[in-house]
Amino acid sequence: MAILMVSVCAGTSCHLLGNQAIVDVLENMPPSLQKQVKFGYTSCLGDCGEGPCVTIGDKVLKHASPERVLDMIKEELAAKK
Amino acid sequence: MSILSARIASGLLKRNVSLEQVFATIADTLPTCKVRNLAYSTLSILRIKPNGDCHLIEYDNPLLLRLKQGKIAPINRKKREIAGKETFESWFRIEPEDLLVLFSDGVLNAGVGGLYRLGLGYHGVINSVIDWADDYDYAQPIAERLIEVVDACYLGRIGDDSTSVIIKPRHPRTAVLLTGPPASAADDREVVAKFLNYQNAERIVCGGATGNLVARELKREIKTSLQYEDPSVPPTATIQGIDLVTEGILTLNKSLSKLKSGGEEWRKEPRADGATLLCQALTRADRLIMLVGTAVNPAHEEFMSSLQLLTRTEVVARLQEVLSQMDKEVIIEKY
Ligand code: FES
Repeated sequence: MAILMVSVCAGTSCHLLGNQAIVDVLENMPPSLQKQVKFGYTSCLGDCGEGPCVTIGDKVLKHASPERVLDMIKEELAAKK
Repeated sequence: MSILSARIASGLLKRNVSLEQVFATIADTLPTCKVRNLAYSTLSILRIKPNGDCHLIEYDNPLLLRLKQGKIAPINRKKREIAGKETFESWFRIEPEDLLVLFSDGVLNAGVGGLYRLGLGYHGVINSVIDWADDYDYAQPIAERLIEVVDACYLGRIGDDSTSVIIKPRHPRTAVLLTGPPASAADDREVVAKFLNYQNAERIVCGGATGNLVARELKREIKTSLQYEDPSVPPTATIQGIDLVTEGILTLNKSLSKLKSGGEEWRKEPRADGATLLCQALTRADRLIMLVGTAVNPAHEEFMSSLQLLTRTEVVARLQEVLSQMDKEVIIEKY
């Protein structure tokens, strides 16, 4: 099973724009998702004005919210199958 | 009284007043016993030149100890009367790895009549300090431990006041800090190359975009830590070959307030958030070169004022002030 890489931007702007809420939701994903996803932080992605930014696989999600991150993870996982 | 005298002495020495004159100035202010007309203050003044040459004047204090490779290296002293006081004067040289120990008689007499019949004594001091000299590469903890021992000898009760100064000479340490991308992207390469050219210095990068820049030039990966050690400071990162990589604006502002707070918790803080690590790195250095990029990130402007954050150039200028007060040489170069 291929693992989906998720990186939350930990740069100045994304930190202030609430990246922690996204990390919280990633830490508390249902076990079925946790098995397929690996997440961490990344340094500034260069889209500071549009944060919080998260990379999911090879896509960058701007203006990310916890819900949108989860939705996109599910979409990406479905597309991979 | 002793703190005031030390302040006066160091102020005069900084202005290149001779050691004899400094001694005479302080000696004149020493209180004397009204009944017996005897001075009941004691005094040691030591001047160390950058090349290691030392000039010492001691008056009624326990004699300074010099240790070389864990052994006592005696000092040649001559009696000399200065400002009407019988003093010992000596000239000698210290080298890296030597250890100088100065202390007041409160240390020598610690535990007298209690734990030790005659007090801690020279041997007690020497044995303690020799053991610790190898454990630490800087002097502060050795002095702290000596005073802890003294406190224990007095069984934590108030006895005589005790002072100890430990000097462990070393070569000056340089740190170079790169923060912020240059105003013109065309200068990126040159500034990063300049930063990387510092070989015998601790190399610090503050800023996400700056970290990316350095990683790109080094063709190495930048890995952001998985941990928020302190929720108010974004995590640090690592780039192979760079000693410390932190986020920029928030970490710099937090470090400034830590350094300005006067508290010293961050020195021992086990929590390794970026601001704590940066404070430790900045204060480890004797000489600091700050390469400051002046490009402005438009996304930062919105929150800078509402969060009362200082801009990169402002915070760096304040850091220069604070660190200069700690007797460090700080050079700022802007790009
Ligand atoms: S801080 Fe996240 S994109 Fe710059």
